[in-house]
Amino acid sequence: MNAFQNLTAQIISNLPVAENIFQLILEIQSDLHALPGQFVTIRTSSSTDPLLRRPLGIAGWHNHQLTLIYKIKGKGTQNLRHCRPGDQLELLFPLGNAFPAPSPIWQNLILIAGGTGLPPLLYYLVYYQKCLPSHTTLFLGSQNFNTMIRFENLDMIPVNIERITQEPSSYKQGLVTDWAAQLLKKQSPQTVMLTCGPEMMMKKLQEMIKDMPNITAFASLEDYMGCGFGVCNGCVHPIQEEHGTTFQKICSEGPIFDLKRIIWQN
Amino acid sequence: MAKLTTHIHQLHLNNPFIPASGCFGYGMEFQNLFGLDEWGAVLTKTITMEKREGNPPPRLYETSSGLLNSIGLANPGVADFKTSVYPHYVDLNVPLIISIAGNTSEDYLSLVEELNPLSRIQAFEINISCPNTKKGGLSFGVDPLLIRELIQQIKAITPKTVLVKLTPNVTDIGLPAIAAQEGGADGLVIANTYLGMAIDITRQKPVFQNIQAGLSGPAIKPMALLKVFQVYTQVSIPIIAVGGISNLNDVIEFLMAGACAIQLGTILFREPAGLPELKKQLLNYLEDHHYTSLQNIIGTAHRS
Repeated sequence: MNAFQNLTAQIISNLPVAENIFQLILEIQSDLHALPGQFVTIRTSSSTDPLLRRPLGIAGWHNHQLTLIYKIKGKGTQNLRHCRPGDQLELLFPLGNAFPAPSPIWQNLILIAGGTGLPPLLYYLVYYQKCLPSHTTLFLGSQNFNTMIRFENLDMIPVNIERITQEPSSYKQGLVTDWAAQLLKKQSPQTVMLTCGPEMMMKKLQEMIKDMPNITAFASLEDYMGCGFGVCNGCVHPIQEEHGTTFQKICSEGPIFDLKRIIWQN
Repeated sequence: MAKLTTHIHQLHLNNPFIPASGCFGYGMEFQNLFGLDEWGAVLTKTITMEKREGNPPPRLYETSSGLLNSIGLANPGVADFKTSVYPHYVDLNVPLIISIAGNTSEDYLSLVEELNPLSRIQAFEINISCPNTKKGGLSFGVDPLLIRELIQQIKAITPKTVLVKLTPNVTDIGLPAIAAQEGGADGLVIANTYLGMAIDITRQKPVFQNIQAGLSGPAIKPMALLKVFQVYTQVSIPIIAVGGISNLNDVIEFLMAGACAIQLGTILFREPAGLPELKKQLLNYLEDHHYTSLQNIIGTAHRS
């Protein structure tokens, strides 16, 4: 497995980027490399409630600065909200596998982020910006205008970005999957899709591409995690392998899996 | 200078800390954080005869200061353990304890026979208390007669130290504890997770497919402490404490209740790199109180 460290990070900033969604920038002293798709687990409290660390996808890693994006959901993220510049947080960095790097044979790249699924895809676009296929599109879906992540650096990345909200807004309206479907219909061979977001969205994408052999797709899964690094077997997900279904650990064998092989439970 | 050394039957430990089975895997991943030799002894995740995929997800649910799990003894099986995992312990300088579980007494005996020839293994932890498998394990753990017979059979075929991990989910833990001692156990591990459940209020159904799951973490510490305190008065063999132990104060309480060694479980998820610091704190505690060894505080809470 990849090397990781337990580190103390110092908060540089912790500011809203959408309704209930915040961008946390941390300084950490580590020479380890972090790839798009990998994540960290953060200890959010000095008491034992919440007990476990919270996994968050890496949205950026450059010059000892780590960028994370989180949505306030429960006690752990509520605690993060109250962190101020200068405060310290303990985290494990970096964990999990990564999205495949762009290949010169990829003709089209479609990235589909739903809700707070943006971080790993954002880091992907920044990290690989010099070798992205010329036809690269990021679909960014959210519930409404207020929950759409506003990220100043996003528009500096030279790719086509489509913002879509389910409720009427100044952005395109509808489901991100429906808009992505229109583009997929036009795709030539060697199209690669990378996605991160709600399970419903990824299920729908899987259904859309299941009979499209020219489309390769990778999805980032999430779940409760005990340890975060492959020890406790707590965060498994059923994955279709040639010899049958196996339970694979999202934290260490994932979080990135071949979308066509993911088995949804309900 | 005070010493953290402790003994469990034939095992000599440089310090009282052992990872709790299931919370440490086989230890490989933790080497990113600190070396295996930092532990008093290394204890593996439970091994069974055959590979087990474990229970279908969800397997974890966080509660207030606690964690429910329904892992179901996922493990590669004894054959794969011998060829793929065991060789990693070649440089290990502390005692190696293997946790084993089976559906029948034959399973336990076969596992002991399979693992007996591996010289680095100094002890077995006989897991008769897993709440997350349908058969076996726990059905032994709640029946004193079965426990005595099983431990007698295991002791008859191995020269290695035999520790028995008991379930706390019984009315009187003294009965299985005494039965294990009568069977010849060299030490007891008190205890395992407490049974609990959670309900998904959106779907109006239990979170776990097995309905019940095992509760661990700081939430169960006072209950585990009582079990250790009770068992100490009823047996003469060493007790290894496990159950929500999370900080120096907890460690000292369990030692004073009568434990001679301490297992760290769920806390490893929260503070995976915390062991070296905890050892330092324990040493400082002993020195600040002018104790020369751990033995000075083991069982002292029973004096009054």
